[in-house]
Amino acid sequence: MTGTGGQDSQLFESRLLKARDEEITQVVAMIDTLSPRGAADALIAPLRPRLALLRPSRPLGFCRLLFTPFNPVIVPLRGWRPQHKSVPRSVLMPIAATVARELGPNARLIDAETEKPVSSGTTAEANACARLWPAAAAVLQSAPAPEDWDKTELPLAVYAPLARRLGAVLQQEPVLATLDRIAATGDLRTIEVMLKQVGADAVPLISAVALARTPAIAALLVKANDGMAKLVLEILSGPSGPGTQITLAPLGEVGLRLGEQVASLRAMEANITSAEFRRQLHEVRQHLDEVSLARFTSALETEFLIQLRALGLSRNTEDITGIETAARALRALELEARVLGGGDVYDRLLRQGVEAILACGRNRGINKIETIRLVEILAGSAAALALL
Amino acid sequence: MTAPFVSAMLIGVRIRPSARGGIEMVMPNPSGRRGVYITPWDDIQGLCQPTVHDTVLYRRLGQTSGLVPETVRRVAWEIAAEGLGGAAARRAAALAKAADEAEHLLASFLLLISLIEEVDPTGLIIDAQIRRTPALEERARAALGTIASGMSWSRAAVIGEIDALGRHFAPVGVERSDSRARLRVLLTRVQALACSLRAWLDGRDNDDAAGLARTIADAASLAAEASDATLSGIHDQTRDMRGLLRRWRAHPDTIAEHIGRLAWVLDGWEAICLMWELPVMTPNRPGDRGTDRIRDRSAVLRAMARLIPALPCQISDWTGYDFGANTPERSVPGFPSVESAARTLAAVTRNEHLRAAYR
Repeated sequence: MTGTGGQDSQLFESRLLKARDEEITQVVAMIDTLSPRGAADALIAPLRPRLALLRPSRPLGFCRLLFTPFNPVIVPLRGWRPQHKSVPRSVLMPIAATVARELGPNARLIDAETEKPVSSGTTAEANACARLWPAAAAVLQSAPAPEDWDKTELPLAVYAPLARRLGAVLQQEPVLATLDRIAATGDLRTIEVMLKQVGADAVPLISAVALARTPAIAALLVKANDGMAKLVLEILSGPSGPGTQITLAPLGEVGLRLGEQVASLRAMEANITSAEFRRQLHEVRQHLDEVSLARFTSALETEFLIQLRALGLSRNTEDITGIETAARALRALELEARVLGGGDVYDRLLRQGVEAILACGRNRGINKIETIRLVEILAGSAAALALL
Repeated sequence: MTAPFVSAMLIGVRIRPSARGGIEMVMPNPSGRRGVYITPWDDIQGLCQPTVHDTVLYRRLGQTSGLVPETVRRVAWEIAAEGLGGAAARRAAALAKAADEAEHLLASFLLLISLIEEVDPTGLIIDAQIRRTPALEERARAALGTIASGMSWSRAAVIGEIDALGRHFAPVGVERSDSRARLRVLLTRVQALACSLRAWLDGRDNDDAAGLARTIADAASLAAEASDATLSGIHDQTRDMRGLLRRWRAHPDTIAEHIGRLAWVLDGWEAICLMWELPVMTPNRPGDRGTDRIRDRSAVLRAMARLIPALPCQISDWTGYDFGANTPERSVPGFPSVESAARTLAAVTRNEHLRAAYR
């Protein structure tokens, strides 16, 4: 890239970072149509945290579909080490190209099926996954290194063990898909078999994937063998741990996610006896507490109070629906987070929210019923009934 | 009868007039076993924190006399129109009101035409497609004079009684072919629900979800059959319009009760249909895919199964058929054990979403 080009891309990046949600969605949709994506992919790299929150509908494509099971543990290359329980983003395209080449016409068919923008959870996606992952798992056990491996900026020696680990995890996808049931029924045997089948080298990665997908699986992982408590605690304290997930989850989902994490930590506590592990678990809880409070404080201001203050008399009904949705999400987050601590702080912040609602009502930004509903969400029905 | 409560714990709770005045709550056994708990509102507050919407709904229903499913619906829409159920429910209330008025107008018009055809038959097919033409209006004016003098009523009284009767016929339609009336549409949805569940079952393993789907499908088929038979009895009345009008004037409550039977038979099915018809609202989790949607469907089926209403105990008297003998044995799931605070809050959002989709 020339000096001028570098300056241009820096300028573009800085403009993108300040862009509105709709603008980002448009830019990403445009980049998704490029082939090869090359430098364009690098341009949206700083936007990934916002994309995680926005979740625009994007074409799945072969690469994204192949790595779907690893989504929560895909991390930037910077700072990544081979021993980490994560997947560096720079390897995705080269490995996907290798798998596609090895699979031949089947890969092209899957690519064609998933090139339109779709949301996750559709039947088309499930069908494509069911065909792709077992085949890719087999390929990754022995496929040669991608010719363009140097683009990953990683030593060639990293490829083979990483590919084997990825393949081993994909092979276990049918088990990973039923983690909720396994956790609910306490099916330790299935977890033990899964860990044995993936092999020692892939245990950290599959554990990280499993914990991100179903936090409640932590208690079973810990029981599976003696070394697992240490590993699970490392994952929970690491970059793909619960703190990151709470930071990145969309506000509407963060309460549910936090509830799962808190319940999981509680269950783990009951299965850990070592004082050192208990101390580490306490640190994880403390970190989660701090992250949750930070998320709540920031979302209260940016996603609730600012919108509330902006309400004018000429608003439409969508505005109040959006504010109610934000208020519910905040309350869900607070209800789960106060289990970790900070009850007084949450009480103070919620009072601040209620005062803003009442002030908005007095200024006729919202009517009486809207005031009652918002107060009900943030302070409970008894406080709201008193306003009737 | 059911009421559209939105609090997480109150979905599926039924109400009935209390001997001590007001209403009391009929709660399904939380364990899922047979039997119900009859609970005053004060005790409900010990179990959960009802929303303002539900508290106001409870209070207003307690002040309403002659509670039947249709009056519960009216009161519930009035509260929704005030906005206590949220902006979407307020918009839905306005639409429901407009639709009710249109159905009332149509029912009154079709009753009038039925009456005219009875005294002056021309072979006119009475259905929602009939247009108000000047010729038809002229014919109506002429026939009304004859009808009024024959019944020793004034013309205004005939029109007034038809209008009042039309309000009751509006949700069931005047003729069997009138498939657009609200409860007729609901009946069609219940039939479609049974078909859709059986299609969903096709090729599935015989797991818990399949068992629930089968139970709901069987109950839906039974309710649809009972509704059909009930509807026949209601529409039979319009074969003698002058007799119906006389009976209506003499015993309006009896006629209203007869026409209102379909609402009793279908009471509770709208929520069940909506749960199946609306898209699953559970947010995705990292790495979620199709299999998780099936998990969500199972959760929806559990919630639907908890709501299955029993047929009214008078159904055999109303229809002449013994539906009780065919009632399938039900295994109804209990309430989920410990729900997280966030899930309880999410349930209120989901229930309000459901509320706004009612007709």
